[in-house]
Amino acid sequence: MRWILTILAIFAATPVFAWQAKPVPAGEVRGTVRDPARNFLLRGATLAVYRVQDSLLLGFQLSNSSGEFSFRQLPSGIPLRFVASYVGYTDAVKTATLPAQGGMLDLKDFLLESSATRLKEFVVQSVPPVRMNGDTLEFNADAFRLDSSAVVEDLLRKINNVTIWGDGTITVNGREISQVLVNGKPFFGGATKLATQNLPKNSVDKIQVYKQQTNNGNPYDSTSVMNIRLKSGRTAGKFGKTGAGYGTGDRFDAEGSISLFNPKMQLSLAGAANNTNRDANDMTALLNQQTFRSSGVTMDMQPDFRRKGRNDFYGGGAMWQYDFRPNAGAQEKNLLSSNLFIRNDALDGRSDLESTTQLAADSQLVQRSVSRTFTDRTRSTFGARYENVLPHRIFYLTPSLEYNRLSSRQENTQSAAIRGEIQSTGSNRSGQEQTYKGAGFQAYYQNTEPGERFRNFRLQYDLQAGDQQSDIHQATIFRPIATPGNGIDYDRKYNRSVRHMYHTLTAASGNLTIKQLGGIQLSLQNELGIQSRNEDQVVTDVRSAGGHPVINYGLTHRSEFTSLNIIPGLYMQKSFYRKLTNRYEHRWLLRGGARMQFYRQELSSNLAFRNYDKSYSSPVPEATVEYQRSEYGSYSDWYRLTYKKTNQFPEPEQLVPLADSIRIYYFDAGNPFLRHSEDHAVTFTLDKFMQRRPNDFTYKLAATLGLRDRYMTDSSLTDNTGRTTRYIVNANGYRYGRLSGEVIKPTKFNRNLLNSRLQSQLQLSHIPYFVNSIRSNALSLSHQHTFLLEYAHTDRWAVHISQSAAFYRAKQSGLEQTVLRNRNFATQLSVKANAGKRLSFDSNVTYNRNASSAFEAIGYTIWNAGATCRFLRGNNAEIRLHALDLLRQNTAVVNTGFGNRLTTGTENVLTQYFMLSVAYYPRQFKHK
Amino acid sequence: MQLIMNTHRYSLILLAGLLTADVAAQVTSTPVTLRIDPAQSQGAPVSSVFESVEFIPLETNRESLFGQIHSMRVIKDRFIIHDRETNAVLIFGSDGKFLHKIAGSRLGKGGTHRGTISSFSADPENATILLKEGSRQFYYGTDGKFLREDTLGFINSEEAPLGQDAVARVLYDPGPQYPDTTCNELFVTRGHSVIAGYFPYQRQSAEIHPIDYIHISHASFYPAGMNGAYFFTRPYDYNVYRISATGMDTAFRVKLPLQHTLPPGFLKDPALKNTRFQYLMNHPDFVFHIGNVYTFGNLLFFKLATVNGGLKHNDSFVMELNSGRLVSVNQLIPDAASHFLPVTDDANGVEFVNSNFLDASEGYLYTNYAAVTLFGYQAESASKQAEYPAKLASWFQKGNKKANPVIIKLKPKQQL
Repeated sequence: MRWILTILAIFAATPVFAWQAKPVPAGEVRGTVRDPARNFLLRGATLAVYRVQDSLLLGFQLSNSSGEFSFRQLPSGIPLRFVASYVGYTDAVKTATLPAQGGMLDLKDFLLESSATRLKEFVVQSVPPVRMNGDTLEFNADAFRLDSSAVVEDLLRKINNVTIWGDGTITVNGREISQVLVNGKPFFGGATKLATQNLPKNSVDKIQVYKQQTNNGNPYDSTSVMNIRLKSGRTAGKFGKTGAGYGTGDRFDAEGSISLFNPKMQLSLAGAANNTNRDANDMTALLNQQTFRSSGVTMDMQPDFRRKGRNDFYGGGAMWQYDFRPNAGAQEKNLLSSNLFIRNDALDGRSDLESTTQLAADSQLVQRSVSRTFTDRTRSTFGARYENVLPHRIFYLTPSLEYNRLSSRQENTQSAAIRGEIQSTGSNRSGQEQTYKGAGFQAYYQNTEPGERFRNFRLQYDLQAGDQQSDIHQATIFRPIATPGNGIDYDRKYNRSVRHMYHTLTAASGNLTIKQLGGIQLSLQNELGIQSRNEDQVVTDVRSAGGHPVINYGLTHRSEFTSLNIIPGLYMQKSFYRKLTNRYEHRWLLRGGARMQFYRQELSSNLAFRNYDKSYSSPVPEATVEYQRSEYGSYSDWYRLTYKKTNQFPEPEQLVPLADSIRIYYFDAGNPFLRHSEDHAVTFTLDKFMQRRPNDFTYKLAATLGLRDRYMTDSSLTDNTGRTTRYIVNANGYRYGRLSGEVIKPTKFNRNLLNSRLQSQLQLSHIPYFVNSIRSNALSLSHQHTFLLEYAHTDRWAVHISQSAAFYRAKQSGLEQTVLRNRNFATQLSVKANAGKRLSFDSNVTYNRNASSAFEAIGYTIWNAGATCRFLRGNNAEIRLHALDLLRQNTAVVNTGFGNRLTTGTENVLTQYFMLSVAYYPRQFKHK
Repeated sequence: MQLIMNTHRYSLILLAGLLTADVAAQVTSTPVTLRIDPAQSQGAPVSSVFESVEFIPLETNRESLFGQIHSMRVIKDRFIIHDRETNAVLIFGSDGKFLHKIAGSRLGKGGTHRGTISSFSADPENATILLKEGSRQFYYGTDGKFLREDTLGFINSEEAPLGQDAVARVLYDPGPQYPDTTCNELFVTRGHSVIAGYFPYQRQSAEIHPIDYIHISHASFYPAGMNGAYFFTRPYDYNVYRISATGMDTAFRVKLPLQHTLPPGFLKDPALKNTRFQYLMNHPDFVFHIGNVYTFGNLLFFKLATVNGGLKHNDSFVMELNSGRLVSVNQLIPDAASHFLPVTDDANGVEFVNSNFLDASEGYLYTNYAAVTLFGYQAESASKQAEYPAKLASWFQKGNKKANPVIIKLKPKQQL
């Protein structure tokens, strides 16, 4: 830990030394912008200040209500150029140098001449960096001088009001940007990074930020949207990446993509192959890994060092979008898009785990499992979406197809010890071949046409169908130490076919205002779900003696499961409103839903004991109280208190499972008398947004308290060989509480950026369960905290520091206060330094420390470092050398807990390697 | 700009409509023609237009706290303010001290009637306030004391007491559901009788549907300086009329540059039926209404109303009548006369945009803006080191941004 602190101190001190080495007194410059011909003070005029020697933009602002401006903290002793601009006027330019000792300089009047009164050939217009256009804040890209290879993200980093966080989130004046659009439309599926880290800054005309209301009845229910408006000659282009790397230990990493776009169509093709734990679940994730980004410190390109096993990943796909109305307004869309993604994963995993289950105060069951797993999985998905959005109507269709294949082999050896003495041993070998074919369909229609009797009419239909075929071969050996003669040997094959189909239909009427009931609004909603699942399984045992397969009639079965779920509801809503103009706006909303759930499930099987037909009906009310408070020019708060009741119905595998004797250490016996459980949850949330300055903080808070009646919990019986038979039983007394919060504070000063974010989560649960027929309660407390500090100085330095801590503590009240606990800490320091425009160095160090009541504390450090050189025109080519896990200390420690069980151990993980990679980024943005 | 679309649908047969044929009067006039080009307007220091400027913060306490001045009349030493947000009419002294509150929830004798005050008018001659609530009207003194209650004699959207018990009323309410009678948009009553009517229209078949009748907020009548006389303006009409108990004449005839003048077919074109608002949105340079007309000596104050920001930040003017010099009120430059504070919130507020000048009385013009706006202007002008009157300085020290709005009392010069 000491050396980490030393590094921290070095990095913290470096910028200070830099400033102290060349102290520059700061000064202030004032002035007024005026139209002398009409004697108008020009309010809201844009003032920009540049360094004369290199035209570097040092700052910008809008003139105040008296046409005045004031720049503070400007460097003294060097020539500065001030440009005043205003729509309809020619620019006024003044050059000045602040006295070496700083102080204040009054530039008096900037006299702007109406461009209507001047001949065009004499008009020289500069581009103002910022202006308000109605309710839209606009930043002009051309006003910011950046390297020719800069992308939109580099531009955003230059804008005072904008903060780009390490995880890619963008906030403007503290409010998170929910959507980034390009020319008013989603860009390659709407992924923020694809737009901000690929589009060149030189193709951008303006960055526009505006609020978009998401709920017409609620002025606070709005999100902030960023639109990147491209220059008229740059609305088409192509970009991509092709790269490959090879490293020690046969590590390889190759990827490639090409994306093309024009005002009507977008098309992307991408692929990747590696064995460095970098994978992607869809095209967006794959493309996100291949952006052109040119600055900033990010961790998302790093291999996942926590991931189990050696993983080979091959993935690729295509994404396509066609816009039928490319010139439609912001509230209108007519898009057809599709997405194909295929991935193949091969895993070679090893683990050595030990789980400790508290049986009694003086008795623990310790089970050790050493296993090795080989998995080869291919997943293919195709989805399409047609979306037609008009100002008061939304319609979309989303068909999808899926094909998966899985092939896996697993071997493990197990042992069980009670009070420190081994009671039994066992081993298991299994192999599985599985295929899945699925299809889905979703249709949605919503009408919010004002003036119609039923507004907000909504209809949604979902269909999911699938066919899964599995062949499983499993061989198990079990040897009790005390009675070796009772040993068991199984060699069993399963041929299973499962076909399912889910239909869900949700219909909701709009709000109908009843004046006679004080303006209460009524609406009706109904959810209808129909599920069918046909399962056909043939199980054969291979007897060790003869070797001929024999059908196992206890496990061979054919069954059909159907369920019907209906939840009709009547909602009542009433809102209150209080406002004092220019002071505050308070809004209350009371909403209650009287809902009833009718659920029926039926299982028909050739195994008679599995046949059942159960019906349930239970009220599922919900209620919400909302209070929104906006204090003009100060802050806005949003409080929400909700109550919701939900039902959990037992599944067939909990009621009448096929008790498979091959599961030696955990044998699920089921419980046909199991009743449904009812969950009551009260949730409180608070969101606060400060409105005063860009540097103000925002915070969020959420708390939930819950109680579950007839909680479906484990009742386990462990015999003297360490084998556990598990029943599911109902027990009252399950209670839980969750608390989470987040505080965000971005700060920009001079040319420095300091972002801080604190996130905390706490979960408390009281879980009843039974061990050997004795009722126990586990009172568990887990909490995680992450503090992130991001610092950047101009484009040269960026440092991220994060500290996370996770705690788990479980106290067994029924077992004489036995306590299980574990703790995981991670301290991370990431640094990126740019040495010029083409060379950069990055390094990150993560110190992990795991401690548990089951083992001594383990600490290890993962240190990665890399150097990247960009070359060719436009920095389109890249060569990168990176060293991963330099200290060769990566150890995947497993340290988790739940209830009365604590699991610890290790898994094989990625360890030290060095890699050299090259990449080329084809980029062309042109007129269309 | 706050716009009102007159969509009233009254089922009552108006007395005014029945009597129209007998009392329809001609507008007599020898109007002064004014040629006004907003592009030729100038900025000017506050002191070149106003002799004095006084900032009067309205007292803020639990009872007097209100939202926004919807309309205000000044009667002698009192500010009579209607606030829709708190459903009240509040009476403040000329120094801003809170005096009385007439709450919509406690109207009438003993305060037993609960309702919503829809509008109010004031009669300076009799120092009375008339509040309208539903079909009732309540009379109060300027001391806040209840005088009497009456049922509504006439339905109108706005009214002005002309003296001699005559009241000018404006109502434009045609519709196919009404009998085909002739009504007057402007009519004058005395007691229960209509004594004059102007601007007749066919109630059942008028070419301009109420949804197309767009005018600026509560702005038909403006005190004309002479006792009992008011300037009257109407949508799509570039004349300023003067009405009194004795009759009506055309005071000014305004001529605008072509780009601001409504096209000749605007009132007749059937294609524009029910879409005139959208048409104006698409043509933001067209002036659709002249409002806020006040005269002081040789100065004429007025507003040219446009939709969708056509003349934003340059729509309110003062004209020196003998020279034709035009000064933009939006662009007045704060100086020592205003303690370097803007006299309107046109730059970044909404009050002047929505309400312009609230009233004119005894040689003064009145406008207002929010306390938070005044605090902002004070901060912006800090470098000027202005000297504030003791009361205002104290308010800056002790007041808070959530206080009641501030009245700005302006005494116009007689000449620029």
